[in-house]
Amino acid sequence: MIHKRILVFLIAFLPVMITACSDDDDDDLIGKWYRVSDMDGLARSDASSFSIGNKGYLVCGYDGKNRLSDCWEYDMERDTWTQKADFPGTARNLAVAMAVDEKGYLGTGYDGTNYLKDFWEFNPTTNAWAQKADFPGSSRYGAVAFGVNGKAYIGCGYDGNYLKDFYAFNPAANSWTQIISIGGTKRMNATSFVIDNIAYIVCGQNNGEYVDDFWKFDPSTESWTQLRDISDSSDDDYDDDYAIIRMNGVAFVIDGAAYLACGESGSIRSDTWKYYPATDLWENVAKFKGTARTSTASFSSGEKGFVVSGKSGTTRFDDIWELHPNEYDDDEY
Amino acid sequence: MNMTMMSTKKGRAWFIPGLVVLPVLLFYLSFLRDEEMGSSPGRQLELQTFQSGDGWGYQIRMNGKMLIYQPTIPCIDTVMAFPSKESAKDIGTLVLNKLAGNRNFSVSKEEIQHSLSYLGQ
Repeated sequence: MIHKRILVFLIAFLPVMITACSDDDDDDLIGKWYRVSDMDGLARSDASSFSIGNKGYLVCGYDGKNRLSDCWEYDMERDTWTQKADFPGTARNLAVAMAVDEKGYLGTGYDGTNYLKDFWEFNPTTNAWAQKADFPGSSRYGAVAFGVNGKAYIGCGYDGNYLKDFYAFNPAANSWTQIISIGGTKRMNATSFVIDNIAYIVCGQNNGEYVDDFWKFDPSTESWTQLRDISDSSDDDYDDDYAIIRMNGVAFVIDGAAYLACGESGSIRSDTWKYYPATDLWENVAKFKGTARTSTASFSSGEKGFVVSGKSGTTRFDDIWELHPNEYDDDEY
Repeated sequence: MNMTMMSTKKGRAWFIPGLVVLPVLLFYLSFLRDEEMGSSPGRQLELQTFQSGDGWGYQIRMNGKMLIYQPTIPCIDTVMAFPSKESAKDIGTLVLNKLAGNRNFSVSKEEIQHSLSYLGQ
């Protein structure tokens, strides 16, 4: 009789136990997202961002009605915002930006009518923008960029066609040089990050297909090396759960590892992946805690990483989230 | 009983529960929007001016925590602070009002020029 009652009890609570077990799987993902100072009222998508030290800079973007040209500095330590000098070029979205040796650079993009190729330098010390030599490739938007080893690099994107050409800007000479194009697939709306003076290009879209080839660039040899695909394309086990492909994702670096979050691939994404450069492997970590979104910007000091603004459908966001990668979140979300 | 009367009765039958459900739905949606836009109800905004180098700056605190720290004149290419406490307060108030209205609180060149000329700076 007692055994019967225990059996009935176990059957009755089986669904609860199954649910609890599946929740545990989510809880196991390391990382905890914290909401920090919102830019209440500065909601936007497709903004450009770069980071210098513990300051992140958010420039331009699109609020759903107007293209923007304001420039804001976020202090990652104090968690405060300061408005800096407006970007003096045409207001735009889908531009690229990067930092090189304590200065920020912004170029290309879309003003609602034209694809753009102008290129600008921002000096935070003097709070001043200066126009530099135009980007020598075709006018474009959705390009990808990074700053490494004293130079700024821009490539890929869309000018009516999908692109894979790449160019290097030397700030000392105010001049551009074409370098070897990225290998593999042409792409737009890709994501970049830099770890230990090596730049990485991941994700993006080519003719409606999300690309899975992943590349790194060594500026000392100006050469590209293909890394492991970011989809389950091998016969090995390591990539069985890879669901990384997307466009308009965002990346930041904390303690020598990169984190890829948000973006879109048919649906809006909030899953987040950690990349270990030493092993060339990705790990699924705690998903982004804000509303799932795409076309975000990011700040990265090397020790802290933030997801900034973005959109989902026609809703633009003004909230900012910081990932603490070594904590666990008890919340279910 | 013709079809028009039937549809009128059906309409009434839905109307009364609708009166109850609609406000509840709108109430819920208002919170949803607030959440998405990153604003929270009942926030307290506070403007403070402070001496910054040879001039003045402002800061805006939200619910006691500093949100905007503006030691220099925003928007224009300069590292100069505001020339007077009044000019810092003038632009700070403008930003605070924009924030309170959940509007884009970036300051434009025209607003800076207007404020500084209005104050005779």
